[in-house]
This record gives sequence, C-alpha cells and structure tokens, in this order.
Amino acid sequence: MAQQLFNTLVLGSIYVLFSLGMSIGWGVLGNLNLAQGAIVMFSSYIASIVGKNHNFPFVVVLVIGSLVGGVVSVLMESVVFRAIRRSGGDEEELELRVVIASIAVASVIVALVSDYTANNTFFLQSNYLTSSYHVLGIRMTTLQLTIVGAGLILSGALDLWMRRSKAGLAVRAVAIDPETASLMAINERRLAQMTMFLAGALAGVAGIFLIAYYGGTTAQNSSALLVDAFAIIIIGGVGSIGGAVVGAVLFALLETLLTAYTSGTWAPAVSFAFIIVVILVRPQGLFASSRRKVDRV
Amino acid sequence: MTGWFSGHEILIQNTMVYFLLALSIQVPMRMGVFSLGGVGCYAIGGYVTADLLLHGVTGGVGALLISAVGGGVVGCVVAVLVRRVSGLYLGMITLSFVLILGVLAGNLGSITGGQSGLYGVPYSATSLSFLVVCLIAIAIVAASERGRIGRTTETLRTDHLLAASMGIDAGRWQLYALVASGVIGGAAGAMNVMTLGFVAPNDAGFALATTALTMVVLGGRRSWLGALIGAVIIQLLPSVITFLSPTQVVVISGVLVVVVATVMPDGLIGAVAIVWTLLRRAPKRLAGKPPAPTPVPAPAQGAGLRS
Repeated sequence: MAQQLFNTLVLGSIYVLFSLGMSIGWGVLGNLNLAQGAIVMFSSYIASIVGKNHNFPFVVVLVIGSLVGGVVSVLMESVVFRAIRRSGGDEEELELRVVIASIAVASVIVALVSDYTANNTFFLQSNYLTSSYHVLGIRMTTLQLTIVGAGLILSGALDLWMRRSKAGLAVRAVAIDPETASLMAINERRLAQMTMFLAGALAGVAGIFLIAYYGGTTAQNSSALLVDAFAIIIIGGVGSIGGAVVGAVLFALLETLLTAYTSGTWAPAVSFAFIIVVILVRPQGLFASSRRKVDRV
Repeated sequence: MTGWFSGHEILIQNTMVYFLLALSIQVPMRMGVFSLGGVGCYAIGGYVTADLLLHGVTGGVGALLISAVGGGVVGCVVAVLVRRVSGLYLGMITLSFVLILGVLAGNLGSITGGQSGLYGVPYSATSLSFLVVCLIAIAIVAASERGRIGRTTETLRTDHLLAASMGIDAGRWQLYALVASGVIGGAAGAMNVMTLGFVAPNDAGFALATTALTMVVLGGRRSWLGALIGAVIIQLLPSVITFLSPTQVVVISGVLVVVVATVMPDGLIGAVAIVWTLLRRAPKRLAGKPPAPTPVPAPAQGAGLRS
C-alpha cells in the first residue's frame, strides 16, 4: 500500500508539471492549448534525437526538453493564438477557435513525428538515475525522487513568482482585465509570450520525465494524457496553481486505487464522471479561478 | 461516372454520415452552444442500431427512427443536466459524456461486444435512402436558418445580452438545440452502422469528437453548407486524392484548419461570401461611384436587431 501511495506521488508530480502549464495558459490568456500533449511528446522526441550518441547528463536533457517545449509553445502563441485573439469577437468564440487551432497543430506534430519514427517507440540515450533505495519498505529510485522534488519545487516556485514578483502581478492583472492592464504600462504581448513559454517549458520537463520513467514512448501516446490533464484542471480550477497540484494528486490517487481494486478498464469512466460532477456542482473548480470567474459575475 | 460512383459508393455514404455528424455539432453551435453531445448520440445510435439489426428486432428504417428518437431523448436528458453550464465548460462536460460512453461501450461486453465492438451487422441501405435522409435534414435545418428561428439563433450567438433583453429564453433554446443535435447525431450513428456493418468503442472517442468539430469550423458555422463542405474536405477528399501520402494529407489539412481558424471566423463559406461581396461591388467602384456605405461582410448579420 505504501509503495502504491509513493508511486501515486510520482505519477501525480508528472501530472502536475503537465497540467500546470495548460492551466495558466487557459487562466491567464484564455488559451486552452490542446497541443500540450503533442508538445510533451515532441520535446521528448527532440531530446532523444539530440541526445543520440552523446552521453549528456540528465540535467542537460531536461534543459533541452524544456527549451524545445517552450519554443514550440511561444511559436504557437505568436503565430496562431495571438492572431485569433486579435481578430475580435465573442470571448467564447475566440476560445473555441484557439481550441480548434491547437488541435490541428497537435495533429500536424503527431503526424510528422509518427512518420519519422515509423510509429516505433523512441528512447533516451541511456537510463538515468536508476540507483534505488529502500526506505520504510518502499522502493524508490533517484529518478522517482527527482520527479517528486521537481514537481514540488517547480509548482512552488511558480506560485511564489505569481504571488510575489512584479511580473507575476502583471500576469494576474492581464488575467483579470487585459485592457486595463495595458493602461498600466504592461506589455501584454511580451507577457503572453512569457506565459506560454513557461507553459511549454513545463510540458517539456514533463515529457522528459515521462520518457525517462516509462523507458520510451511513441508519437501516438500524447492524447491520453491530454484528457487527464483536462480533468485535473477542471478539478483544481482553471488558473489555480494549488488547485492543479491537489487535482493532480487526487487524480493520480483515484487512478491508482481504481486500477488496483477493479479490473482497470473502468478507471477512465470514473475520472470523466468526476469531471462532470465537478462542473455541475462547482463549475469554478475546487479552488478559485481567475478570468472566467470575473467574466461570469 | 457511374463506374467511379460504384467504386466510391461506401465512401460517399460515409461522407453523408459525417455530414450529419457535423450538422449535429453545428446546430447547437449556431446559437452559441458548444456541445459535443451529438457525438455521444452518434455512438448510442450506432450501438442501438447494431443491436436491433443483429437480433432482427426491426428493419433498417425502424432502427434509424428508434436511434434518432433515442438520440433526441438522450439530448434532452443531457440538456436538463447541464442547463446552468455554458461556453467551453459545456463543451468539455459533453466531451466527458462522450468519453464515458466510450468506456461503457468497452466494458458492457454482452450489449456492446466489448473492446472489439459489434461485427457483421446485416444491412441493406442504399445511397438513395441516405440521400433522402440527408435532404430531409438539410430542408429542416435550412428552414431554421431563416425567418424568426434564424433571427433568434443569430441573436443568441452574436449577443446573448441582447437576446435576453429581447425576451429570448436562452435556456429553452439550449434545450431545443441539444435535442435537435441528439436526433441528428442518433440518425448519423445508425447510418454509420448501416454503411460499415460494425460499431466499436472508437465511435465514442476523442478523435471522432475533434473530427466533427474540425469539419464545422473548417466549412463554417452559420449554414448547413458549411457542414457539407467540411465533411467533403475531411472525409471524401483525402481518400480521393491518392497521390499524397497519409502524413501529407494530415499535415495539409492541419495547416488548412489552423489558417481557417485564425483568419476566417466563419469558415471557408464565410470567406467565399466576403470575396463574393467584394467582387460584386468592384465594378461599381471602378465606375467612380462611392463604395457602399454599409459594410456587409456576411448575410443576415445582426438581423435580430432589425426585426
């Protein structure tokens, strides 16, 4: 049981990294980027190519992954999302167009990578951080500990940055009212790029952890994660960092328990039912959200 | 021509099915309701039809009617449950509904055939009967694009505050939209089984939902013609154009969707309408007359205001 709880914590940390980026992109800019799953996969793919025949230390691989994810995300923001948001119109309609465009970008990325890899599994150059310990009867590897640590540190740092730094204040201002924010000498465009870079970089880190943890991945593997992330964001509340952390751990726990005590094939249905119940009973999520709540007053 | 048609008959029937599927997403979207419930009803219609035909309970027409009515009932139940939800949240809650149906389909082995689905469904549908169903759907939907209903839906989509102040009950129209979406989706699901002879959990998946959504955005959301254009581009063209590899097709259609979503809010049909208006005005401008004072980017814009 203790072992399972620990595994849940590892899984939850990966979910946190993945859904945090999606959550702030949606909460701050209204960009529900459904290409996040494709970015995760693409970052790990590029890292596996660049790292081929080099024995990079794990930190370097992580940096490569986060850079790739961040750059792809910023490109999408500058070329596509920004143009959509600037074209004007109903807020809900703009969000829908962003969703559609991001799905299309994801389909292109997935198609290209599955073409190059011929749908085969791709790996990192070597197995990283494999030394294992036994603490209180729980077996844990350095990689697992690193993942949990990274999840905690990165989400904590992001939370601190949003609450305490001047840039974080600007981000929250844009989330509540972009127009007034621009009157306060906030460069909304640069801020949007910064936010989307962060979102992509977090996805990239999650991608590296995923491929290292599971030993390899395929191009088609990215969409399952997307729905999970969506459930986490809904449970936690859009744009809420603490909410994403709690949502991710809750979700991972639910998934682990269901897989352990039922036949396993029912696990997804219960997660989706959870989404439906949360939206019906408490649409803003278990924690307060940013933009949407203000809109709906 | 007849040779080409008989060689591609299944494909054409399939395109008609996807046209109806796109229509089931488009009808609610026309009044600003983003619901994927139609995809769920498509799956339900598919399984109901497969079970009815496999056990010989009804013929094709009966199965189609039962699926359509069943889809409408499910749409009604969903509409009552989600009556306080709107926007992207409604889209995502209905997406969860679709995905749950997919899991149910994979687990209820005795009714749904589990992960492998139901195979060998006896069917005897003709392309002509499919065409009749599509024409009926087009006639009803096209009628709802005009007159009082057309103005109401237009107002609901473009300005829900204005709609409320005009005494339009958005909740009730959301109910109508979801029921209509369910009926069309159920019929499409039934026809899909009659074309292919099988139904599987994939018929209630994320991929199908995004395909349906893509067709609507690509073609345009305001008119049934948009759904038809979307279905032809997404479903028919890739199989007819054989000189491109599957990867190239995905890349090209993906880029096309990005371009349309970015610069053409009303889809390809909206872009065509704008170009048409410009062309029609061009000769007048050349003759030295001042350009028309009212910019008319698309038909029926703001019709609700004037009524």
